[in-house]
Amino acid sequence: MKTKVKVFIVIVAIFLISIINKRGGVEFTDLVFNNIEALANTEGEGEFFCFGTGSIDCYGDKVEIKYTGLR
Amino acid sequence: MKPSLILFLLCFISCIGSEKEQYPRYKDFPVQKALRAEVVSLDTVLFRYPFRVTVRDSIAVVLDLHNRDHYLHTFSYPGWGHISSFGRRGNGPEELLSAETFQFDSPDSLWVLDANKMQITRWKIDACKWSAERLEEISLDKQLIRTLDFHKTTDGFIVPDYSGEYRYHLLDNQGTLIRSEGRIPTEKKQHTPNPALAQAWRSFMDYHAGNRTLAFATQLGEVLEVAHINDHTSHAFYGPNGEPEFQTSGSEGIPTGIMGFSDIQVTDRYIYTVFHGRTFKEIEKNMREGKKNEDGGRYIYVFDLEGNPVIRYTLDRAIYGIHVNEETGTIIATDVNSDEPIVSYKIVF
Repeated sequence: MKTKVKVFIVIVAIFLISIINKRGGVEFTDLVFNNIEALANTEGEGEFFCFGTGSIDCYGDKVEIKYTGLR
Repeated sequence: MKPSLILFLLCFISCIGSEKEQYPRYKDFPVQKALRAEVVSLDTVLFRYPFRVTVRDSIAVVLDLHNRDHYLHTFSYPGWGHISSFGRRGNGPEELLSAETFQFDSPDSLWVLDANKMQITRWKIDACKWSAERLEEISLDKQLIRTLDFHKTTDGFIVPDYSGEYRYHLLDNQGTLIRSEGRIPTEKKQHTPNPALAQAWRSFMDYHAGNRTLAFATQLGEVLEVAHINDHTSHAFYGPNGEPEFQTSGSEGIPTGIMGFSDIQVTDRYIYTVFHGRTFKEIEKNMREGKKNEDGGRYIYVFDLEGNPVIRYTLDRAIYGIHVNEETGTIIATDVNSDEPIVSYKIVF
């Protein structure tokens, strides 16, 4: 019985790790961007933030990075 | 439940979730060369973010995306003496809220796209009077939602789609929608709101009237598309970095993968693109550590008109926009990182 439980845990762990790897993405949850101007849209359906100077279209502006904290 | 049964179920679920490859892949380029830039000396104008450059006969035009006063600047060519700055930033009737890109056909036909006003304006450049005059403004069809690129043709305009329902639209000369074509060549299953998909697949496009080739290069990921308007055909080619990766927040597409292409030009023989390849993880990490990210691409990828890879040029600096002249074997490029914002490369095949 113990062996079966161990095998089950290992398989589930591998499965979960593979899902996490597939998702990828940038983690911003503990992010503090200092000295960067930010635009935020929290109205309507989505919540997202626009940082820096670049070419990504974001909220009518062109920024370096666009992200949401919900990852 | 037996472990073998659990394993089978997990494999079954994983297989259901995977996507099939529908589009051809390119892995590498048969020819690879390194190029060294020659810096162009400018006299007065200071750019903040020189995004696009085009040369036509004796005039060069540069679009500064994050300017202080004016979006567009004209210069004599090849001397690069400043002629005029125009397209003032502002909310006034003669001003531009934004400038995405421009097309320079002749001195009295310089077309500028203002995405925030949903307008395309036509300007006349007068090098003798050191001036630029606004001649015409065309309001784009409201059905388009938002337009981030365009190409002027004799019949009207070609613009990319922003709804996610199509790939591009054909407009008449008054900016009215005539016909919609194609679809986004994603291999992922459609659980995404279409506007978010369209945002993630935002692409730079160019059209060559001579060979009737319309080409798109994705700003995120690494996908090249070659379309032919007359026979309604389109072919997508996935590079090693694949299609744009993103997450959704409401109807917004949030980039998570890599910065892909930043410019494209179709010539008589080839399709030239600027490729970045920098991950958003890397960009975010540098920002968090207070480091400045190098912005732009250190590669020029050249494809034939069928979309097959031909040459990869590795550059000595990161560039953004390009103007290719195959007759002289010259590529003029913009550099947003340097105080030397315009450079030139000599190409050989």
